[in-house]
Amino acid sequence: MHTTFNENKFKKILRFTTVITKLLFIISIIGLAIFGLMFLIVLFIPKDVLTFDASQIASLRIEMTTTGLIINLSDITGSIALKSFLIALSAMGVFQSVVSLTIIKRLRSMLIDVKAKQPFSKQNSDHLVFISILLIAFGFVMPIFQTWLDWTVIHNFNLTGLSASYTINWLSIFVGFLILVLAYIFQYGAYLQDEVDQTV
Amino acid sequence: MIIVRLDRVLADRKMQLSKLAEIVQISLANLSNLKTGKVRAIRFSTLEAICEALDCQPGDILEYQSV
Repeated sequence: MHTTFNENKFKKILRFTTVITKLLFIISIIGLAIFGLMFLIVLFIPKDVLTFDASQIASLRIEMTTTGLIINLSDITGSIALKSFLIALSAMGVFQSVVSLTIIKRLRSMLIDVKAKQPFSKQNSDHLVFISILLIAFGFVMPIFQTWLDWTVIHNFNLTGLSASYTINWLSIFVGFLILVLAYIFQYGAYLQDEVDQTV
Repeated sequence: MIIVRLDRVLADRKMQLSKLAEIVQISLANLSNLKTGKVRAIRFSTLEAICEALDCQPGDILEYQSV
């Protein structure tokens, strides 16, 4: 059976992917800058400056998608201290931005090789191994930040009857292992490419 | 171990490597790698083209030596 390769379709997909990764790269840099700045500023602001009386705030609704929690500020009494919440939020943002930037940077390097029609190289295999390890680690570390954030929301907003719990991100770990398999496929591809290159 | 004796046959036929590369339509770099034994494999089509260009047998170009 003769295998065909649709080069035009491949070029279109490659162009689209390159644009998306460029966009994600820019968004990640902006995110890192915003969260990084926020972290540094909030760290040095006195706690009193970021403490508010709940009764003085007009009715405001906060949705925490990580916990599925919806808070109506009008239901809360007492003072609300936002410093630790903002520190946790910005730290999580910085971590997520750094991980995204690292992955996207490696993907962009791989796309350059694919554009040069040299996708199967040891370098690309190493990029994929790195990305897979990062995703697996992300599955364990990111929930720590999420738990920390949930804990600050519960304590700062004086919410009773709620607790924060650590839940491993199994999807990230599973995707990490899938990419590790892909890395070894690329490593085999690099070996085959080398065989072809060294055949006259 | 397979040793490539292309340089010997080229000298006998008084042919330059560049001329052979032009005849068999293989890049000079690849043919040079073949001559110096840096390649891992050779296609039958390439061997056929070289033998036709040099009017020789595959055994004239390739020699086996036990390591």
